[in-house]
Amino acid sequence: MLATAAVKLPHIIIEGDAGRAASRLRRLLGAVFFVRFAIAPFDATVGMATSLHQPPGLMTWLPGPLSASTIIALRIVGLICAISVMVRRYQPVTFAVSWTCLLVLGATAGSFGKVMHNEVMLLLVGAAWLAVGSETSESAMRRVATRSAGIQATRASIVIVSGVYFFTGYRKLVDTGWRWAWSDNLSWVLHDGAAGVTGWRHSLAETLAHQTTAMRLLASAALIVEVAFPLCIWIRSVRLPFTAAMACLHLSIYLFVGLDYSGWALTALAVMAADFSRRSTRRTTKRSAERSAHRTIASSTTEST
Amino acid sequence: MANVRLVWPWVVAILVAFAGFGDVEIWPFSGLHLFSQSRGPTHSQLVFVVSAGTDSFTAAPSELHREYAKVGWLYSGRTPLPHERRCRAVFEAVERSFDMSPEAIDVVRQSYERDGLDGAEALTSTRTLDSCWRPQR
Repeated sequence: MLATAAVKLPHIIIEGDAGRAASRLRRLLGAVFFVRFAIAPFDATVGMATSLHQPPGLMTWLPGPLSASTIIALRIVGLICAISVMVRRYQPVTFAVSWTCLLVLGATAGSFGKVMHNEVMLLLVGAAWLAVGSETSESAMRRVATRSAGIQATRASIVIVSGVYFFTGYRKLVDTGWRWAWSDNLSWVLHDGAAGVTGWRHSLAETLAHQTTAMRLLASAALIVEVAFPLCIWIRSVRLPFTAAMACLHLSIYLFVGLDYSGWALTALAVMAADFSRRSTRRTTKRSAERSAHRTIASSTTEST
Repeated sequence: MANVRLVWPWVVAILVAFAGFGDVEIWPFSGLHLFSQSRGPTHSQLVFVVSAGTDSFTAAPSELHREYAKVGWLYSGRTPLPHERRCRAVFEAVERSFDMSPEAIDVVRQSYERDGLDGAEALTSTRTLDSCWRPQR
């Protein structure tokens, strides 16, 4: 029974022909790479003392923090490659280069001994696409292989996004328990965040922080959505509402705490919208076919009269 | 090769599940701390946790000292970055005494009060966040 479910799972995630959705998703991921290279602050450690330099395992060979010029060079290479992915030029190579540039920049950005969590979602989803070949290959066989690999990568991307959100909630429960949501935790996070923002964002954050019950309910809702996110794998209709809810959460974190999670929100939206767009296209095509059939019937009726 | 390309995305998905359930790090994401916003203290939690006192810390002092020195450098050495005032206080506290002497705790309390918060209440409330702290590996 478990084996049957495992075999059916990929078909549940995306049904039928999903080649176009896969192609679109890879280009959308290229666009998300572009946004991160353009706006993410990777230069916070420039000039930091070498004694404070603490790269993650894969970057231990670096003698110290990256220089400003190296960061700019990686940004430019990443941006060019991201554009190339978007226009479907040399996609396998340029996607891998974009991904690698973001990995290096994310790993050294904070010198916290880890890849910055702001980039985690895009890097994990991107990793699933590293083995997908070229869509524009001259060989028909290679194009077919690329299409199949792209479909698997699209399906896996949906599972990865669902898994990442699930594990963020799961680890909160395991490490902190319900007190993460049902305590004054979020209120204090907002108090602290308010100190870093100005104007209406500051006053609204302070006002919200004092609404203890509302903050507990909001934190509980966020935690429930995170833990329930794997439902998106099986139930298509909840994908966009769940993703929109998490996007709102990321937006509120940016507004009131000043932390930029645009990489998470954009990646999740791109992945979860891939299948939705395909279904919209299919509905449009079906409607066009109905209209066409209607016209044919009408013209034949006219001819017979 | 074609089979590898088909299977690879699912290998990544399985690794994510492995890392999530097992709370482990996987090469090449060594040090990735996949779900760090729920594991260790975030920047904001860090400030609250440090004010809760050293009884909640389990990491080696030198490791924590370096973390706070880094936070202090990142956020207090520049303007106008978020948490600037709070982290300056943390930095000062670390510089004065890692053991969070009454004097150091007082620095943190004063930083809360400068922001219009009840410093004593903040120090008490942050004790509920003790379990948020887990040492960085």
